[in-house]
Formats: sequence, C-alpha cells, structure tokens
Amino acid sequence: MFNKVYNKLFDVVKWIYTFFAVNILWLLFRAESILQWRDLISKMFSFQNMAISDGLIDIFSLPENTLIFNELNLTKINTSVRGLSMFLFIIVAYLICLVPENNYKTLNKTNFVNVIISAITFVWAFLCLSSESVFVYFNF
Amino acid sequence: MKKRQIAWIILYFAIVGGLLVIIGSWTYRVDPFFHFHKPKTDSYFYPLNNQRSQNDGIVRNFEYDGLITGTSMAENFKTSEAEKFFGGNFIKVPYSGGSYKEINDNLKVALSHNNNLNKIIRGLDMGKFFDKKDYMREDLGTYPLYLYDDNIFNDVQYIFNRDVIFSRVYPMIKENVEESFTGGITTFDTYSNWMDSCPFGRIELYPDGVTVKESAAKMEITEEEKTLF
Repeated sequence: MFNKVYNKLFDVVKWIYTFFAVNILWLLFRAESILQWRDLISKMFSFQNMAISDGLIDIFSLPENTLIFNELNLTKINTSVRGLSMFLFIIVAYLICLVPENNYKTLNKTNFVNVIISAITFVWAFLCLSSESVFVYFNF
Repeated sequence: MKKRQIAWIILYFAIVGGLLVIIGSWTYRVDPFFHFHKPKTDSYFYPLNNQRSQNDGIVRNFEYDGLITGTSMAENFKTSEAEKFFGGNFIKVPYSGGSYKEINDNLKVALSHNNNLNKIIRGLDMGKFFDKKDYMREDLGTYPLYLYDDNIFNDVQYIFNRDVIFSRVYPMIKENVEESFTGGITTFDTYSNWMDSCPFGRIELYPDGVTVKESAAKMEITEEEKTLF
C-alpha cells in the first residue's frame, strides 16, 4: 500500500535533487571564477535576502496579461497582489509539467482537445514573432 | 493515413485559419497605427504614444492642411495655437531624437498623400546641421519599416503583432463596451508634450513671492577709489 506513495514521493525528491543540481552547476558557467561561484552559493544558502526583485517580477508582465486578467476577473487582485502574474505563471508551468501525460505517449493521439490546444499555441507562437517597436530616447 | 488523422489535420488548419482571420480583421478594423484607414473615433479611443509607429499613418490618413514636425524641440508645440495664428487644421508629428532624414521622409509621405497641405512648421536643430544627409537613429530602436512602405505582404508584422493585439487592439475593444465609454483620440496639443514634467515660472520658483529689501543707505564710490580705478 505504501509502496505507491513511496514511489510518488521519491519522484518528487528526484525532481528537487535535479532542480538543485542544475541550479548550482549552472552558476559555474555564470561565475567568473570558482571562488566567486563558492561565494554565490554561500550567499544563496545563507537566506539573508528573500525579496523578489521588481526586475524578476516584470519579466512575467506579458502583453497577454491584460486579456487574461480581464477575462478571468483578476484585474483587481492583480493590482493588489505583488507578482501575481509570476505566481500564476509558475502554477500553470507546474500543471503543464505534472498533469498531462508525457508528449511522447500522446504523440499519435488525435483527440479534440489536442487539436484545439495545438492550434491555439501555434497561433500564439506566430503572434509572438512580432512586437511593437519601442524607441528609447537618449543621446539626442 | 487514417480518416481520423485527416480530420484532425483539417480541423487544425481550420482553427488556425479561423483564429488568424478573426485576429487580423480586428486589427484591421481598429487599426491603432492608422496604417489602413483614418481612426474610427466614434467607436474607439486612440491613444497617441508611439511616434515611430503612428506618425506615418497620421500623415497618410488624417485630414489636415497644416503640419508641425521636428525633434523633441517641437514636441511641446500646440496645434491649437498654430491653428489660432495661421488658421486651418494642424497635425503634429514629431520624432524624439530624430534625424533630418527621418523627418524629411515623413514630410515626403505627407506631401505625396495630401494635396491640401500648405503650412509646415518645422524645428531646425542646429546640432544636426552637420549630420550626414542619410543619417538615421539606428541606436534608439528598430524602425517599423513595414508600416512605412506600400508592400501589403510585410503588413503581416502589424496585423499579427503580439503587442498590437494584446496591448492596443484588445484594450480598445474592451473600452468600447463599457457604459462610460467615449471615443476619440489624444489631442495633438498633448501628444508627445513633455512640458508638464518640467515645472517652470515665477510661481514655481518663488511660490511665496520675493521679498525686496531696500538697503539703508546708498553706497557711492569715494574720490580716492575713483582715482584708484
């Protein structure tokens, strides 16, 4: 009975392990020296500043947010909750990773939901190829 | 190939095509950059806030006989004042940090599309007198060249543009259904006008007024000092 729970739990432990390993080892490429890498690691795990920067939150402020928040009636919450879009983004990303079956298993499935999701994501990706030109005024 | 798979592919292309037609037709109808037609100010409110994307459409599709152009030095000019002094109907199409070439190109478009244009107020920045004649400000951003030409095929970058659709077309349509909605467009007096961010004037400098103190006695130079001078 516990074997199934144990296996599921062990999966989560494996994900966490992979997540930490990738993050820590990625820093090796970012750091200019091993000494700097060690410094970064020690600062990360000393948990002295847990604040999420505005810059990081702004990355998740997508142009689509207006439409999504409006249609889901989340506009008011969005103005009062800092980083709501980032939080939702993470939740949706987790749901996409954990809930549906692996893509390789559904490769040859031709159901109705599949076709709608595929078409919408294609159109969305197509729209993302163009963006509005923004001029930053300096050195005039 | 099985029938089910063929149906899947047909349905896929039908949905993609349908979505693209809906999105494209909405962008065409609203046209926030005035690329296809003049603004439908009865139905939507058009914010003017992107010179490089909107000025070309303004000179092509608006009705006017006077035009104000230049760099940021001309951004605070008011069309209402120009109309008061010179009469007619003015538009304003400035280019922040723009070069003479950029302003010239826009003027050429204006003159070729509007035979009624007979008054042009143009800022002449002395600092740009010695720029090369074809100098463009490539350092400020990427020009939306697909809006400047008459090639309909590259308009796909405008019709199916993520920022245009989600940040302009959608909010403009959404505004339209609100009860308090009134259509219109940003006035050319306020378009690109940055005067409000620069407070100036006597009241701003001395809100409590200036106290003038008369000196007790007038000081005059002595004969000795005169000789010294």
